[in-house]
Amino acid sequence: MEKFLRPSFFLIFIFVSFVSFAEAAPDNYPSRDITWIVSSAPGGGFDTYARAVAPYLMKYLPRRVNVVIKNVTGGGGLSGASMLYRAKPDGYTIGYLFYPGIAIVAMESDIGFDLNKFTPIAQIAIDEQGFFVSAKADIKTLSDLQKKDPLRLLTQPKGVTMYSFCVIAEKLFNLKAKMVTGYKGGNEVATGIMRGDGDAGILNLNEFIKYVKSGDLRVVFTFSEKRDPLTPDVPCVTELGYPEGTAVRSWKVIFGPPNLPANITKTLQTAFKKALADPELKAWVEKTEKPLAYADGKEAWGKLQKVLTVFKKYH
Amino acid sequence: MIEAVLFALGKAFYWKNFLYITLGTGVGLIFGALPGLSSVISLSLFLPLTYGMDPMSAMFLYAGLMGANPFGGSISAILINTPGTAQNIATVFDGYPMTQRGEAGRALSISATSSALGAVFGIVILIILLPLVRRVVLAFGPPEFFLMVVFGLIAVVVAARGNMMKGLFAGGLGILLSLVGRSALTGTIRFNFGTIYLWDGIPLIPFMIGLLALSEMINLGAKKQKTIATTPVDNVLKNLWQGVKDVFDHKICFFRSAAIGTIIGIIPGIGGAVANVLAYTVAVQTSKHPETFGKGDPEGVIAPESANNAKDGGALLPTVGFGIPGSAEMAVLLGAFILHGLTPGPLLIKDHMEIVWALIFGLTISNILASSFGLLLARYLIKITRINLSFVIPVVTGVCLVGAFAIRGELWDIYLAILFGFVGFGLRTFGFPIITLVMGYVLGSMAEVSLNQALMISDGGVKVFFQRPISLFLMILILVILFIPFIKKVESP
Repeated sequence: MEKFLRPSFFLIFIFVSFVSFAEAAPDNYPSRDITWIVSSAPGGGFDTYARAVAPYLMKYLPRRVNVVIKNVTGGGGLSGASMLYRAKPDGYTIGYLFYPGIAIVAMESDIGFDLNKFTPIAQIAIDEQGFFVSAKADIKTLSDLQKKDPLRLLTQPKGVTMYSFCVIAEKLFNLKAKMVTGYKGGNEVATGIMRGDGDAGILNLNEFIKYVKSGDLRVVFTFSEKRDPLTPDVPCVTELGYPEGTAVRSWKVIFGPPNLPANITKTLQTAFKKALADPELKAWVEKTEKPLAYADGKEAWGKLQKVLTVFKKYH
Repeated sequence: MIEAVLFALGKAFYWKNFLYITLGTGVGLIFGALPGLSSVISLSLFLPLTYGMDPMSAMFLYAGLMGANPFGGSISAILINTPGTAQNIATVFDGYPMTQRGEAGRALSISATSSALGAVFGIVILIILLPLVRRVVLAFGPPEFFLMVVFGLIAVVVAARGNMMKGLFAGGLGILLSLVGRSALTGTIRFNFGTIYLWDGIPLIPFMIGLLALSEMINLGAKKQKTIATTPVDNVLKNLWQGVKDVFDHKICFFRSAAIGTIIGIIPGIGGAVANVLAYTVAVQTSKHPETFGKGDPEGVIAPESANNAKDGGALLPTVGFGIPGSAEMAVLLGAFILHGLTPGPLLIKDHMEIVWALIFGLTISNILASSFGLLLARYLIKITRINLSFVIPVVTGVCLVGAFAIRGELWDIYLAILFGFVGFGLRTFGFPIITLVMGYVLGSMAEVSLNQALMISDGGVKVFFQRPISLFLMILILVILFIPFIKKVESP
């Protein structure tokens, strides 16, 4: 019996090593569950999009694996980003990075890693922003905004994306703005405007358009390149002559850790592209009015860089 | 309207949906009782499981998860001085002393009764205010928040009675600790020692687990006690019935605390943690014998447990009426709405009222179920307080540390809990009240932010507090409370 033991162990050893090597070989990708890091709490915008898209991503990957959402809160997105940075570049960890949010944090302090090293995979949405005021206010056009002195802008504190949006708007449009901070998020800002705490705020268009429909808020203009289908009667910044205003947007881009092999990136990109074209997902988009827009990683990264130059200029 | 009510009611009793409510209730109770697991976590875990379900069935499941949670958390708060969730922090202050006296059954049934009744209160108010949702939600702004917080902070002094220096010191320490992290006002990151870990402040649950639970475990170990209950548990059934009677004997405290809970729920962005602590502090303040608090006063359990359940009904108001989450659980619920193709917002009431009723019935049924389970199981749960501590201490410590880790998978949460375990033990040993520290911590940062916001809104004028009706009312209330002792002194010779 002992005569066969050693060769058997040897064979098992060879077999197991081949299997483990095989698992690591990119041709078998994906062969286990993929973790999608979302740097925000459950229930928010980023989280909801991820949970909506994940099942369709699963559908279009070459092999049936689970895509598991992992909420990593903390540090304004830094905890999630740092976790993604340190993950193995084997395609089993992907994540959202908040843009331009995380770039703003990087501009202000040393975050301990280089944002440029992440591997851009795909953009799944661009969130257009609007300049919102109370529907009861006597502010209907950009020139009304410019005349208001002071123009109370409700916002999250310095260091968070919304604040930088307000600073850009203030400098670009020459507003006599007074920032009222302390609001924890878009919901609090919207409530504050409706309550009369202040005059205006810069908010996610698709998230807060429902208050325009209910007659509580009004959008004076949108920070988009073209008129947004959600607000066809509202002018956009390019129309008003301020093309740099299109830097005020929020991007949902998926990244992989640094040095992700090109073929894994390609597999993920194809899966995302097909997922976003899926008719069921498109029907959800129609119903909930949450726009999804695919662009591949490189294209998205190029656009982001241009946006960041505007931020650096006005910061 | 009636059709929507009947439709939802009918669906609630359809066996499949009833099963979901019961499943949600069971899971909610367990997640509540286990420190570190919360309803937010349970809701996010169940979200993907509900993809294929029809929206109403999903709502029944969510209602079950949310409704049972506050009561579940009170079980560990009362039995082992460990708040199961942030909504049960104040319950330990009087619930645990009752357990030590052998009255665990009484405390549990007080909690069960106030939880169920508190939930119903919150829901009734929700139904009444639904047509006025816009005016109600918008009536509370930064000036009102600030005055409410001031009201709560005044109670720190009352709670420190007899121990003023140390009480105020602990309260101040609590406020200082609440300032750690990024200021919502200026964006500067304070006292984080250069780490990302403290960027968002000291994480609440590991902090409380350490300060309240671990410190007590160390305390018990140091005291060489045999069991948690120092006096034997007398007639369990009599105890349970006494607890139910207690809630009816202290009706004013109940209604006041449920009202506070509902109002906090209505205010978007503030949730169960503030509700239960504020209700407790107000109960202390308005009591004729505040010195009995912290030693096992029934009102000390009634207050937080009615408030934390009432808040769910209140929190639904801005959530379904406006699309703005009234609490952290509601934020996840809104995400669930979107996933199921429902658009939250002012139009939800018009187009999908049956979903709202599904939540209402779900919450009511789940609360009644949870409290009933609790009462039935109480006599078995109480046995924990009679188990030899050499088993209890290691098991509870283990559960707490795992719980602290389970929230975020962050190793430092465990270290933080251990650190504050020792800090809590030290504070207790030298006679510093933990109650005031917790009050200061929960209310501190809110005070700073809302005061500054109130002043920014009105361009620096203090008169803003007098110009708005609710602020004025709160201001008068505060002045009255502050001057009552002086008036009394003047009146009596």
